[in-house]
Amino acid sequence: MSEMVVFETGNIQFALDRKCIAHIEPTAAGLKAKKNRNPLKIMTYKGNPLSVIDIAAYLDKGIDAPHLSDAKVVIIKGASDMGLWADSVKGPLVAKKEQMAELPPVFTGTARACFPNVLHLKDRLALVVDVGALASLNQCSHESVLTDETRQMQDTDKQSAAFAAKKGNSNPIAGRSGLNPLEKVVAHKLKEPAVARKLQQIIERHVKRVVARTIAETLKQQSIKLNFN
Amino acid sequence: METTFIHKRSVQVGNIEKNSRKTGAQVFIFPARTSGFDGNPVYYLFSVRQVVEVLRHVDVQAVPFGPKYAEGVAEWRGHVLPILSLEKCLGLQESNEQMPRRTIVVRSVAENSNGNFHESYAIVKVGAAVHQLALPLACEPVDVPHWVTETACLSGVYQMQERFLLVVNVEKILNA
Repeated sequence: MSEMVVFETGNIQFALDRKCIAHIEPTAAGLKAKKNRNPLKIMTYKGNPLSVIDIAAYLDKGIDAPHLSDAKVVIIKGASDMGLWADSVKGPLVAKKEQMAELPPVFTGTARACFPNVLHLKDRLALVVDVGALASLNQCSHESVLTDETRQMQDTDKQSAAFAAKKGNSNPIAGRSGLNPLEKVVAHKLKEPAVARKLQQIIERHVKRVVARTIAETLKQQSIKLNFN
Repeated sequence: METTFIHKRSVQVGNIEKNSRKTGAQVFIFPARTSGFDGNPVYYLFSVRQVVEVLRHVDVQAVPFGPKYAEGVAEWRGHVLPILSLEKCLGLQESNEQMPRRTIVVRSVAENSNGNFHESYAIVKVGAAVHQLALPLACEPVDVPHWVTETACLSGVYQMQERFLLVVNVEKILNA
């Protein structure tokens, strides 16, 4: 028997082992309501950036827009930079062994890794979430963003080189126009993709820290104003 | 609607004519959720032993990252079954939602390497107008039409007057 927390997002019910949960946080002011769901959001938690995964956003067909009135973020224990978006949290329940069933074999790959079991509830089924697999997915989402950006910059590099060759300019960096000095350095380093990736990671981490600091300072100033009033 | 119990083997389409006179085998044909091709309607053919139950209502629980032909899972008699779209399995274009539909539970039986039989179940959504027919059918096998783009899960195609009858290998879909 294990204690599970059931939460719902996009009209899908999920269950998570209570031991995996560090904290359940109300949604932050920075997470605005949008028409379409975003699989990955960033919010500030205890002064640090936190990736919030909305699992329902990974479904192909249209899902209801997120509603913020009861929305919570389930902070995962052991993965301090990851949380799960929940439109609503149903509260803990004790799940018996007989209530657990394996996900049918037709579901393989990521689906099977992230939701290996299904929990029989009174009126519905809930997908049991494997936090480790989702954390890997979170990591891949970040990396794919970096890979896409690196690829775009490589395309830009190729286009610029072709343009420079056309113009008879042998130096592709000098031939490129409109790139700031940082971009030029990264573009030059694209000859070594591993280095480019590392640089991108450093830039991304720095940007996240700056954004988190800015949000924290803004909130502090707003709270000071409210106290004065 | 006849509800069947556990059997050792499902009826193989290739043996229909051989066994029909002895067993009086029956089949069901359900309309596919597609608008037909060249004016000919498309049906799925299942043996009576394959169709376990017709459900009135099923609560679909979608599964993120699942295959496109698996719409989700649902609970049936304490089991968790996948809900399959046969149209997506075969690459057919689904028709609009206004066609009356029916949800059925189908069974497939497969033999494993030890010689034991293994049963699998799945929920399938089909058109509502079911026909129960006795074998032998006045039909002939035809080549797989061009509008069936995914043929891996197709056991055979037959033409009965203007109707196309598709025999789907459910076991292959479930173990794909």
